[in-house]
Amino acid sequence: MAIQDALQQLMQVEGYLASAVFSPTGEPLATHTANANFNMAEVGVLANNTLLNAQKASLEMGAGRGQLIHIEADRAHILARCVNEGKDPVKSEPGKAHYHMILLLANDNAIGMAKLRLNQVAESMAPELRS
Amino acid sequence: MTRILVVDDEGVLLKSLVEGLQELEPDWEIEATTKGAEALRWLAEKTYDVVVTDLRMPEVDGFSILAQLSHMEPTPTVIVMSAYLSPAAEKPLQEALVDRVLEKPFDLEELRGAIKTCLAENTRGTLEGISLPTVLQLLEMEQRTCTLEVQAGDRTGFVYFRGGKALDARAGDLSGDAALFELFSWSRPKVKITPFCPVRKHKLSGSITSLLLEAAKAADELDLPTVDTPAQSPPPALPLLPDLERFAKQVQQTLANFAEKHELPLGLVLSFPGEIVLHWPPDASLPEHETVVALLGLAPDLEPALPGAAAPVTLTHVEAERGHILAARVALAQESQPFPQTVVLVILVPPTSPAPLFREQLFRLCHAWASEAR
Repeated sequence: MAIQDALQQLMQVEGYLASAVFSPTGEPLATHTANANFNMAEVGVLANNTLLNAQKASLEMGAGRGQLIHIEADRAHILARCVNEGKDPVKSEPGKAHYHMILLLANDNAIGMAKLRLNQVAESMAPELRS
Repeated sequence: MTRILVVDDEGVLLKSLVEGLQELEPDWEIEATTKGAEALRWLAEKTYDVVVTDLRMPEVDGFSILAQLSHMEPTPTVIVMSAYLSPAAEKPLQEALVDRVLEKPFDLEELRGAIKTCLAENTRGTLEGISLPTVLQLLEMEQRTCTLEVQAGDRTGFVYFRGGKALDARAGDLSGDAALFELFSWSRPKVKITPFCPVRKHKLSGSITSLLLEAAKAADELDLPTVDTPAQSPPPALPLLPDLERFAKQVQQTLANFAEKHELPLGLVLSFPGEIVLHWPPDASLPEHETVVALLGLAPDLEPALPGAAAPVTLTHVEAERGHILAARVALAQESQPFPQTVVLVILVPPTSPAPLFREQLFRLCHAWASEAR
């Protein structure tokens, strides 16, 4: 599935505000915003950094591989999902897809469904992003 | 014997670079690490002829390495490799800091050639070193979110960046433009970059570039030196967190009931930028500093970037294979105070425990405490 098509699919999630795909080193690959009242580039970078820290902290605290984070702020909910086909949770491997998908929601009315949808869409993009 | 240090967080690339270089140049003594912190330790202990470093790395990045190199004499030859260096950032890097900038991907021969050329030219001798204005310009161009700690002698200052925008500066009891101008005047300061920005309000009157020009103009008009200003009195200590112990006890008490039913392996209260203020259980083995830094990074300062009025609490829930990590960032002070107080509360929750219940409790508790503290 093409990246932009994948982001379009996330628009169906209740409370959708924006979505983005990042490389594991933090470079934005694609961004989609339904609400222009905020800077998605900045939010995306912060969320992506948080995911990177989460993966590191999770491993070092013995909690294993952490691939999904939910950031709960007063004015938004942010889900960040890592897809990494490699064996090492924080490293990229040649020929294996490794990217991060960010979903920004206005509320958590359907947060469970949002996580399911994000997982589904994120994994469907792997063939496009396998290098 | 030419001694070379190579730093890159991409382990596979690093291994191939080192093995390839060693095969081509068996006389070179090459050391390599994927961790910036380890590179800093090695640089403090050993001498290298050439340092090859990536710029973007987690935790301690290439900018911190460049900053340390600037205080070394003689300064080694410096080659920076980066995949995403903006053209605007490349120019000052080449002019002020490094001998070569290699854009990834590059082939091994290119790196080998760059090292040999730099060694042959050896024109720099003693590198001028990274200046504070250069670091600030690079952070601005690379759109970084971070706190830059500046030290010169017993003086300490801070510059706060969010998405490359310099929001505020502090130097002693100065803040805003005055503090930044003061920092510009410090000679050969040491800089340390922490990947968090606790400041929300934009107090500087312009970009780093425009303020640099203004500072230079003012210095010209007054015929004042822009460096080597005599040391002033040391800045006042950061104000202590007002009720941190009380908050910690409240947290402990509130979570005690949960802890009875569900075994909580670890809880931490961390101050910015990384002191463990409280932990439980009392006999818990505490995480190392690098882990604490990563945990602090779970508490992003997202609120200012979101639409609507700002709120004091952000909570991150990490769903991992063998447990959940809950991290709450609590801003305790109003922005008008000199040093906005931020603490991070972290709980490790076993996979069998009801993480959503913990999360709800934690969120309410942090909100209540932040409201009270403000």
